[in-house]
Amino acid sequence: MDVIKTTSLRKEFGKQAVVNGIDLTVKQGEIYGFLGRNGAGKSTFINMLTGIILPSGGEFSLFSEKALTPEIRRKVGVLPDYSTFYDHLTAIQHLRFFSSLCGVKAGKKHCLETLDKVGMKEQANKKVGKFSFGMKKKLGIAQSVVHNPELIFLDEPTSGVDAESAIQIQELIRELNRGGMTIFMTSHNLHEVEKICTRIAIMKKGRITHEGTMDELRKMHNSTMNIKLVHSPLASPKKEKSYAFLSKFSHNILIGPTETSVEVGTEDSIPIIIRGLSELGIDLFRVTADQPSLEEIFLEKKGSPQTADKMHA
Amino acid sequence: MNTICFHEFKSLFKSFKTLAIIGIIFGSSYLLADVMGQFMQELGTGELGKNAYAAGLMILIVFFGLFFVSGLSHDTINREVSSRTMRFLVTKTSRTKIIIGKFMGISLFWTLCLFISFLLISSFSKEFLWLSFAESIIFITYSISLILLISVAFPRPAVTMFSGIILALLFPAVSFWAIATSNPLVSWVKFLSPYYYIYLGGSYILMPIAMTVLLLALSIFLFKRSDL
Repeated sequence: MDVIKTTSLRKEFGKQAVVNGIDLTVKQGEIYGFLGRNGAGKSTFINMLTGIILPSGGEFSLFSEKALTPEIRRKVGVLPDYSTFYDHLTAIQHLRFFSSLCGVKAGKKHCLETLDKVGMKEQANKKVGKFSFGMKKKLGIAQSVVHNPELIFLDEPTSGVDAESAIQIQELIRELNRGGMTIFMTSHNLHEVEKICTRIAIMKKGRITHEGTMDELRKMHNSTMNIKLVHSPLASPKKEKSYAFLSKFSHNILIGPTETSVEVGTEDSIPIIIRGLSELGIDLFRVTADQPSLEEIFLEKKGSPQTADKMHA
Repeated sequence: MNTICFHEFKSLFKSFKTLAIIGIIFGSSYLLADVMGQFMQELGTGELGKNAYAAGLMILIVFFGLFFVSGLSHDTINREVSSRTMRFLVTKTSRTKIIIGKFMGISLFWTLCLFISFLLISSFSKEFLWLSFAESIIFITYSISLILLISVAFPRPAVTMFSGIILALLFPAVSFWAIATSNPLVSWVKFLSPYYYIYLGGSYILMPIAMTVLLLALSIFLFKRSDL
């Protein structure tokens, strides 16, 4: 089921197109990561889908509904990019107020459980005016899930929080997803997106330049994989045979006395290489394969043309 | 809608503002009653003509009601937009419900303040001034809808504070000028003013209610088309 679907969605501020015709589909149960630099249009995109700002063109649907009806709002939780609260209310009062706005009566026990999930149970009765930025961020996440939505939009969920809290939030996101919740998140943290998202879109100047799973992005990255082999010392005839064998897979081979590195196109070559070298009587002690990280892909793609180059699963 | 209404009501009612408003209305009405007592014959045969306290209260509400409402609620929408708490609200409920909820919350606050003030005055006037109370509520709800519209139309609270004060001072002056003058260039303004219909009395008092609904509809229209 398509939880989010956008068609040529566009937002212009004056003459500047901040979101420039985005076609996107998010399926139920995905953790969809939206990656891009500041000003790429990530938050604007989320803000359009959640009713904070109005699209200039195109259309979108959530749960196949084109309007944000009360039923749809009940199914959706949102952490906007800036989490500002009512200073005079406590954390638990906020959760009760926000859930009540969605038409859900969240009891004190449920609110405390929600705060506990984000590590804020002890701050339940403290006024938000005294909260740090990180605590407000956690409360923002708590309010986005307090009414048990089916889809949550998280705009930079871990920005501004300490490393320990970031890990806690990432674990919470995974846990929510395991419970069947679809998650759409933006992040600057490439490592985080790589770690928890099942599907990723790279956005630049209002357009999605690349989209796919991590594996698909790596394939699109068109980069090689570097295999390092630690083996028994090679005598001259074995060295030559090894080189002849490895030449079938790569032109970039570096054979040392006890360590060899080979650049290959796909990971499919790895078991064949291991088997082949073993058959040549070479004892392999360790094999490591370095794949390009999302950061490497992202940095390479930053200069890519503005054409949408998508790859669907 | 009810959630926003009670949230708005509680945030207004919790503060010192409530006591201040009740104190000002009660104190000023009591003092004005002395002055109004000298003009009872000119005020006619209605509740105003019979009761100096009613006259004092109405003078206060008519001339300063918009000023009070503007002072307390000029930033009811744009404050939440600029502080971004509005982003939480619009993702959870419709914009129409936000405007109506805010309107109801502020109206509830003023209804309670006026009721307590009228109740206190009744201990001197020896009767509860129901007609004046109803007219006050009608005028105050009109003022609330006007201030809500300004709060939606201008995104910056500093602007609405300034424009609210100017409006609160100019609006009664221009309205009474339009009612009194025979100059056709100015007199048409009276039809847009609730003062004219309160002055006419009778069923004309329903006109400000219709104007309130119209202003609310305009606020909703604008709010639905704005980025937050």
